[in-house]
Amino acid sequence: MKKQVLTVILIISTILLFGQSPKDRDIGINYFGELGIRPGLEVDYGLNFWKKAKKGKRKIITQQLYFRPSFAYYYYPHFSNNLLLSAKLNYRIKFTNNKNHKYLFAEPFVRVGFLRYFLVGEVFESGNNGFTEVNLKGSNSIIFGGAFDVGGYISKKFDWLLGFDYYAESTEDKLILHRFIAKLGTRIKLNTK
Amino acid sequence: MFFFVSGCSDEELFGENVRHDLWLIHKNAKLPVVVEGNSRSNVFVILLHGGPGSSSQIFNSETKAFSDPLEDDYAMVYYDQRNAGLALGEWNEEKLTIEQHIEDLEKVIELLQHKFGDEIQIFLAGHSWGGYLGISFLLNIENQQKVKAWINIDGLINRNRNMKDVMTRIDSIGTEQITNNVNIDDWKEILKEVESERMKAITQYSVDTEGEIFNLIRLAESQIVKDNLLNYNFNSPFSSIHSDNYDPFRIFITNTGSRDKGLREQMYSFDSLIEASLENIRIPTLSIYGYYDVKTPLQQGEYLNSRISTETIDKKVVILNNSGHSSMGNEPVLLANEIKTWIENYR
Repeated sequence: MKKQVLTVILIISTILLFGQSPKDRDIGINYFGELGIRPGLEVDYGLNFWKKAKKGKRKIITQQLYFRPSFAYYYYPHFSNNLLLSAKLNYRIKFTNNKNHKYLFAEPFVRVGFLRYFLVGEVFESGNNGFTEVNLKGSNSIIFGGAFDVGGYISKKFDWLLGFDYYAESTEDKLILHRFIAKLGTRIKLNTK
Repeated sequence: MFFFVSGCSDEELFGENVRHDLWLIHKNAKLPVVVEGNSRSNVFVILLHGGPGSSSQIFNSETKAFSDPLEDDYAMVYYDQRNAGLALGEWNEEKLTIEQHIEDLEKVIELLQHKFGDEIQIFLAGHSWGGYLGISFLLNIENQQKVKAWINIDGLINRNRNMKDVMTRIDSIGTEQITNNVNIDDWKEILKEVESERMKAITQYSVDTEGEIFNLIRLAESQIVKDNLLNYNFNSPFSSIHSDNYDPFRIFITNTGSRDKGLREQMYSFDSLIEASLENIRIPTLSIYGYYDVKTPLQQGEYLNSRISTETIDKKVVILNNSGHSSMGNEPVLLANEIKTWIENYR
């Protein structure tokens, strides 16, 4: 597991070091709900590294590839607190209206990351002399998955975002668990013209 | 940037409406033990789930009409067995043994006493495979002293005997439906399948030969549903996910046939020990079976009742007339009332 955690940290560090681009940076803030209803929050950061635009009569079609390091927290009631550090590779296709510059985009992505969960409640470990209370005990997982976001223009500074996320959680317990996430949020553009 | 929501509540240890989320870590398994209800009663009812591989949390989410009335009067203990339900920890098939499950249950009882004190009264209830686990636990006389009474709900008692009981029960229900002129052709077809299985004259079933019996169970169960013989009172999975720590995906993933195959194999070899030791059981025993249960038919309850050494007045078999194998969802109120009456006799 240590090797896997180091790999994830390395990927994210590499992205932060080399993925920097002066343009098209943004911060995303999303409601991050497992099965839609288990509350959580995701903050991610968009770093563009490839972009291609094609201008038509009525709209501009822009394609982009960019990395999104992400940090998320979600709460599984009565069960666990979950911290997720991950990196996403997003492909974006954006349709911009030539006249009013409003746009819609679709964004499939893949995600790899590290998940740490902490058990909620009172945790007791059995031993030779009875029980020891070991609260906040948890475990680590590597996650991998991806899905699909859609979004669009709100203002020069803000975009809206609606997304669905799936990832498989490969646990230290040797289980593969499946997670389904619904997202609703905004992206704050850091460098607007 | 983020916040922790703590499950460690300030609720009093003993109250009329408490919830305690406990975890037991034992031999690399992390077992959720949810205590909910009226702990002031000092009566704690441990529910052993079926499967193997299902979850006790289902009782507390999908069959609230069963669990809520019991929580009004007692502290209900919903605990998920290792490698099952919402349990976490090392996934180790070598530890997936009946003996390990018995040891885990002993630890759960110790934990409850550690947390709530030695004075609490513990009642044990088990459904289906939970019935098998419960009876296996009670074969040890020391374990019988830890619980006030045993409640066997649609429990499997002897796996090999059960395979034959299944055929007998399907025969009876089919004949009854044919006599009542209900879906005669369908039932005749099912009875023909039963007869052809019986013709094989298998005296000792195994994991390899039990497949046909499961096919018969599926056929009969779907016909029973088609004939509208059962009542239904289940909460929707959505409300269960929303309001409880219920995770259908995790439960679905852990509740797979391949993973419980080892346990099913062990049950066949454990049968002889159960057969030989049932007479050592002397504690009050209530057995409750669905009339239309073809998975673990009422004959299993009658067999248990005839073999244990409990005084006649302290053992009985109750049949729920509109229930199948999931009496918690078929006739939840009747079931809860039977359990309450039984507990009140022995608390």
